[in-house]
Amino acid sequence: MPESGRRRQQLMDTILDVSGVRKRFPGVTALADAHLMVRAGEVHALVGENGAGKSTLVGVICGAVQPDTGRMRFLGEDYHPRSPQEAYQSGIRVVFQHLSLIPNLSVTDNLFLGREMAGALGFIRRRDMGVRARTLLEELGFAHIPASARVDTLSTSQKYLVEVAKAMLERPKLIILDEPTAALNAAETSVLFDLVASLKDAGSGVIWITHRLEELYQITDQVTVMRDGRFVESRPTASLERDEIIRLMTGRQIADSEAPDPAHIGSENRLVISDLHTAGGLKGLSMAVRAGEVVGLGGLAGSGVEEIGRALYGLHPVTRGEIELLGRPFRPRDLRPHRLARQGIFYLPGDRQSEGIVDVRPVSENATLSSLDALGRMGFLHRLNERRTVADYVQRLRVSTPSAAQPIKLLSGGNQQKVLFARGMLTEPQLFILEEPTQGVDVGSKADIYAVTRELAEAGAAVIVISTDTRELLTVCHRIIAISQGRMSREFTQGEADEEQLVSAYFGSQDSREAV
Amino acid sequence: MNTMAETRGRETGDGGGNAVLDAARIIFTKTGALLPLFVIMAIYFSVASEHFLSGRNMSTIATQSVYFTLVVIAQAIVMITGGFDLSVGAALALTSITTSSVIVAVPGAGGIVLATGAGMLTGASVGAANGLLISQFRVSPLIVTLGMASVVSGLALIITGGVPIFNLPQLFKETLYTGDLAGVPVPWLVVLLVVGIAYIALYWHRLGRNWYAVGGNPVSAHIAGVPVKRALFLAYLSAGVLVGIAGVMLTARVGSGEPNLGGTFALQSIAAAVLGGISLRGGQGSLWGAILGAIFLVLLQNGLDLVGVSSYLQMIITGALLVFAVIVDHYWHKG
Ligand SMILES: Nc1ncnc2c1ncn2[C@@H]1O[C@H](COP(=O)(O)OP(=O)(O)OP(=O)(O)O)[C@@H](O)[C@H]1O
Ligand SMILES: [Mg+2]
Repeated sequence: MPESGRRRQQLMDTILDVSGVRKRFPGVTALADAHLMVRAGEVHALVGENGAGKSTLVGVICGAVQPDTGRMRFLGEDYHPRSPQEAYQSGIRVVFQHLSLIPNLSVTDNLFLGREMAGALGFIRRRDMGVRARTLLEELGFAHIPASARVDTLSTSQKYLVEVAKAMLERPKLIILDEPTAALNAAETSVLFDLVASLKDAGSGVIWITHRLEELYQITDQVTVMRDGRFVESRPTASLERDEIIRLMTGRQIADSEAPDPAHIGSENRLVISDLHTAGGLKGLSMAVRAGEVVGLGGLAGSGVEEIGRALYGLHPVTRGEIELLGRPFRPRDLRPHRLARQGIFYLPGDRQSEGIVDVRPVSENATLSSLDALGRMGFLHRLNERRTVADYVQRLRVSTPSAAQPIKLLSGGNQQKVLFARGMLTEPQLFILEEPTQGVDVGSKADIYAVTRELAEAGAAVIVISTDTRELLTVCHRIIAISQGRMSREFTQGEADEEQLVSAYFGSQDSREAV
Repeated sequence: MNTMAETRGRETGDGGGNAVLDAARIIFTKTGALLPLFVIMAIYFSVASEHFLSGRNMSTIATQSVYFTLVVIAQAIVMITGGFDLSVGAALALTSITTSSVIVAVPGAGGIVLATGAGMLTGASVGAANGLLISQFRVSPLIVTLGMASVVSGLALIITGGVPIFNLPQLFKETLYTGDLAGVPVPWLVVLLVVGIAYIALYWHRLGRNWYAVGGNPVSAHIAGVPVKRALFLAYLSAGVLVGIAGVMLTARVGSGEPNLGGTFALQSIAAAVLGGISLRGGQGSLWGAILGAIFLVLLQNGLDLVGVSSYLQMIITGALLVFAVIVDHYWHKG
């Protein structure tokens, strides 16, 4: 940042000042002593391990959670919102970790939900709303999202962008983005970066919560680190090294994840697909994955990459092509989750909230849901055994929860994700299909999950990782297949590609700059 | 147990007094608004009527509870999967008719066995029909079971022409109503057995886990590999069997085949289950809560009878309680 810019920033006044906030839930102290100071025109990163209390703090700021103690000032005045409406009226917008859109309504209807444009006699002005929605999406750079489409026909990342657009109906004074990039690919992320930059120029405050630390250096000015519900440190981003941030967050050193060892790749194919077509994106994909091999799949939204896992697991219609799983040919209509799960295939859905967890049930039941057959004989459950196994995984994956009996919806997002990962490990499958396996997971646990993935492969499992996180693909995979326009555009073996080459292959071209 | 201990440590570090509140919350979330109501009611009735707490009345209540509890357990199972069953009352009536028809046709002890089988089969058939329609054709449980209630009631009335079937052999009553085994009344034994099996199915068997998961989030359950359709079918089938058992037992008690038996059972069983903490949104609530809810409603009716409240007013009270319970359910399970 140039010298004049820094001075300008120092002069800017504080818009949000949170101090000494405490919040206790039964069995958990989510916030012990939280502080946060955000200036106008500043992009402020809020980081911490899973369960550190970031989302709870967001809840307090936006009036959804009532703190036990603590003071807040917003725009120079005392501020204690008793409801999200109050926060909204003050000009604070939040884009949550969990999507809140109504699936069977259109994008337009969702954008204006509760704030419909009404004419005389309260009739809703549909046409005006449609026009406004389209211009808004265009202005934000989300023109690829059709305003009239029903939300449930959109991809997860498109849904997220609609959620962002909803917060941008009027320019917010403060906008909070809770893990915005967890489900976005590189192109979408850069659109969002542009949006944040323009908000910043317009003098809005931005709170950016993320587990992808490289983003901090790309767009944030200031970093606040939290740990165990407490404020740890707040400093200009440029003055903090990545390793130091990690140390402040976790109190431990996280070693770089080791590259997977190709020596364990077997000869037997666990998955062979040829000329796969799906209703929608895939137009003739062929590939094979061997035992002991970790294969990554990446591509842009709309390239068809997001349909591969779903198609293989029978959740998305296959229109043509051959599929061979674990050495056996499968007709499309035989691809059914129950059947595939029994044969030793585990699918981790990308949409944790609506397709992964059973939110009202305990951590333990969520963990063992796919492996109940193995828990006893003839369907009878060996519950002591279950308790031990779950406790073991809770510890191994560092799931932060007061007990395994806690309803999973009360866990932080990253911890829910770890439980789903445990669910997969418990089934001891021969083929893992993982969609966004580490979404919302903190740096330390990411390393744990990568290590476990490598162990699984070394023990003979085949693993498919479908991820928007290019770093993740480059870290864990033996081989990466870039998907473009429904087919393989390029294949890279371990160490062959860097991020730029990978993204350029997503665009189906040799030069990424040209394509962007 | 590294991380668990850490979190707990954090909590206790913040001072005591919390444990009592937590315990209270757990009791409430497990049994809904039931416990305070129970206490208020017991105190009120024992003051208002000297008979309420008498041993004889308690034994009457226990016997009365049997039939209703069986139906509430059936209701609770389907509610856990995220549905409900409005056809339990009608199924009870049809069961009563088939049971009595068989028993009139086949005399002697063999007839009783056959009739019991026929009654259970009737309940099972209604449950299977419900389950098939709901799981295979994805029709909403509301529509399916409401329609089924009408169809089944109609069947019961056609078979009998609306006239009860009288002259059931005394032996039937002596076995299944007044009979006992080692001093324990047969109806009590039956309900104990059913509770035991339901407990194992719900908490020590895959089936119950699947029911809870399907009720909690059918999409997640499906993707996790739970056979959702089969689980739903089995839930309605089991409910049907339980209603069949209740129908046979109730027929033995009233001593005739009644085409109008069980008229208010559907609404009342839902009320009892919800009062007992079974969420209308599925996936939540326990067997014990449901049983408590059943006993509560029976106690309430008994008490209201004792203090001379008319059955019309009782209808109003039950209805109001259901609505109240649903509101409480909404707030408690909101999360
Ligand atoms: N309503 C609740 N009831 C009980 N515990 C809760 C509730 N909400 C949050 N918690 C707990 O409070 C702690 C902080 O959660 P929070 O969601 O704020 O973490 P986070 O920093 O956002 O983590 P992540 O990075 O995984 O999203 C966690 O241990 C969580 O389990
Ligand atoms: Mg969070």
